[in-house]
Amino acid sequence: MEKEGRRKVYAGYDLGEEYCQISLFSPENSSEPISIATLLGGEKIRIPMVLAKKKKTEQWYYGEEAVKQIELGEAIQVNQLFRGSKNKQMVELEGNQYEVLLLLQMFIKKTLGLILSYVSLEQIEMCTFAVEKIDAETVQMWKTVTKGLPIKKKCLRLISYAEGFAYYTSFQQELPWERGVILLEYNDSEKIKVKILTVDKGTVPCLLFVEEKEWEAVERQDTLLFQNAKQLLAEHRASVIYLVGDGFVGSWYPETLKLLCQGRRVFRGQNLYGLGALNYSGIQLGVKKQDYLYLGEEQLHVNFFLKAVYQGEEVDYEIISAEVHWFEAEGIIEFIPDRENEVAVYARGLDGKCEEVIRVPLKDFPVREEKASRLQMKLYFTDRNKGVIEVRDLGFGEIYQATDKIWKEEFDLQLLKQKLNGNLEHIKEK
Amino acid sequence: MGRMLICCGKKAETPLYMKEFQITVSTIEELCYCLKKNLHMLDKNIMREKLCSFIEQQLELKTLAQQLRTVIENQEGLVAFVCCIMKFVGYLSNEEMLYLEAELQEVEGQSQVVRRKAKADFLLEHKKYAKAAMEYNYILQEETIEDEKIAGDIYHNLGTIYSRIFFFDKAAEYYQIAYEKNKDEESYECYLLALHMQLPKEEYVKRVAEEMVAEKTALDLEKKLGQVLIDEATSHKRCQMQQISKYRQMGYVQEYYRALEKIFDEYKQEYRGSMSEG
Repeated sequence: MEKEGRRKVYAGYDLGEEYCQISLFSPENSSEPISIATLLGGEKIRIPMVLAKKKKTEQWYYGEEAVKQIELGEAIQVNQLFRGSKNKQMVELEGNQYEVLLLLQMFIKKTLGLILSYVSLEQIEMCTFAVEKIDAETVQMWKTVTKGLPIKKKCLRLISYAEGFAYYTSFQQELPWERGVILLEYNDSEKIKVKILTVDKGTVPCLLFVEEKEWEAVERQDTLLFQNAKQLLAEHRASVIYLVGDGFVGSWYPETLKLLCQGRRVFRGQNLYGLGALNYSGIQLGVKKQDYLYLGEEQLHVNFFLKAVYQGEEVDYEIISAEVHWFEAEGIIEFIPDRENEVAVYARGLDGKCEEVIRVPLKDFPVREEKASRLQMKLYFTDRNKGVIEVRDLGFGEIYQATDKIWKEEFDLQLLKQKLNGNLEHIKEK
Repeated sequence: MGRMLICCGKKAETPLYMKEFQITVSTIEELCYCLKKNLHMLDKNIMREKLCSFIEQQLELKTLAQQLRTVIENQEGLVAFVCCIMKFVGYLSNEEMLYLEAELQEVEGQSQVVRRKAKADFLLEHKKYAKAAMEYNYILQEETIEDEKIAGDIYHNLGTIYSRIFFFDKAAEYYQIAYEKNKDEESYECYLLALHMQLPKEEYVKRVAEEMVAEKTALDLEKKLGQVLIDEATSHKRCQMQQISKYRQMGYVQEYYRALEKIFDEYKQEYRGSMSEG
């Protein structure tokens, strides 16, 4: 159910290695999400991740047009647009060096131009990018690439395909998806990627988890695919199955399909991740109601807080909550220490039962009267394993000058997660 | 056991100058600190709309501002006003709040003389000599001082102000009146010191004999003066001047004059600040 503010425009961008796909919600144009076609009025919604330079010019083609020009021998392809950007590679085209990262940025800008027949880019209030996996290099790449976009930084988000899958599925109200959902992704000659969605209804909001696996390439052999699918369905309950990727186009897997369809709803789709990213944008804007919360590798799984006094009351003052992505997580709080020679940051697990403390000793603290120092604490993560707490002395107005002294403490997030959540069964169904 | 106080509100883009405390505050916690530290200086003048507006607009604490306006409208008094701020922020523990309330009750019950003297003492402590002198003189001229000890202490502090600006004759005069009223040995000692600074040595000795100052008192004073001179020799200002002299000795003319100018600017600023009546 959408809340007030449904006039807001938001988008989802599936940024894959082979294809990208854009979904848009624009109430002025349609009451349903729009999957942007590669050509106006066309039906193709998957844009090949291909950029090509027209020979002997600085003109660039993208998507279908780039494929066509390359085939005609009129343009030179930039290979590995996604991977090359992530690895900060350079490419040489007709004797000139180009940064692949900047070429990817150009590609994304050009593809976003497809939205212009519906809305201007400045109207977009939230745009979520979905990528297959998120690591520190991907985050860095994404931050750089999106810098040049005409969408404000605070309106941009990044999620994984697993998260996109979760947020696509959780809005399929007409399907019995809470009994379990499986996604199979097959792009020719590659391994088959398997995602298994489960629900934990023991919390509010309910938690979504996605387990990921891989099968060896089946090379369009129904028998191989059938064996894998049979074993999978024996281990995991599912009432809905999604088949994603060009590999599932055609009728080469009749036996597998028959198996999958037994007592289940099976769908083939091309824009699942894009629509999932779109839904995520809606949630971030507060336009879509979030009854389910996804917890994956990118989320912290730990709540961080201070035991402090706020406006006279003793409280557990939240710094960052468990569902935030590690690469977006940043908590900044200012406080006054009262007879304290350290800052104690508390971490609590998902079930709220276990607690750990990370202490930051305030060594060589300036000599001052009590309650006459203002400190700023910043908590952030450099990658999914390492958290950092920095405490800075801000002085106390005209009374005591700031020394800008910094005390720093690092901690292992994975270890913390294990200690606090280690006993939890992540796959629960009730 | 210690605690952490989460800061409330925002840091003001336009800080507020609080003339009661001679300080500019940017946050609600700084205001709390000033209120707690200078309880005896407080009076109902602090309960003003300007402060409420600052809290509302600059610190973005609308609820607190509204509460304070209610206190003012209902004429609930200084204790209610200050406690409202302290409780909202949670700056003090429960125990500290009880103590504060008790002290504030006492302040509210104090006479105008005691309160004005506390303000003047604060100004003196912060080297605002001209303003402090104005306050002390106002009390002496306009208020009825029933307690001779308080009157004596006021004269003593006026003596201190004059000695700090090197008017030792005036200082001696005030210290003498102070001693007559408060019978405090410290005032008498200061009187003798002011004489010592004012008069040539022979005249001083003659004066001490005329006033029949006890020998022990005179000797103790000499000892104290000696110690002051020793302390001064290692003081920051002395070290500064020695450094400047070194520049001159070593022929660093530019550095010498630059350093001199800097020191003179500092002294000028210090003097102007202490003599400002604004």
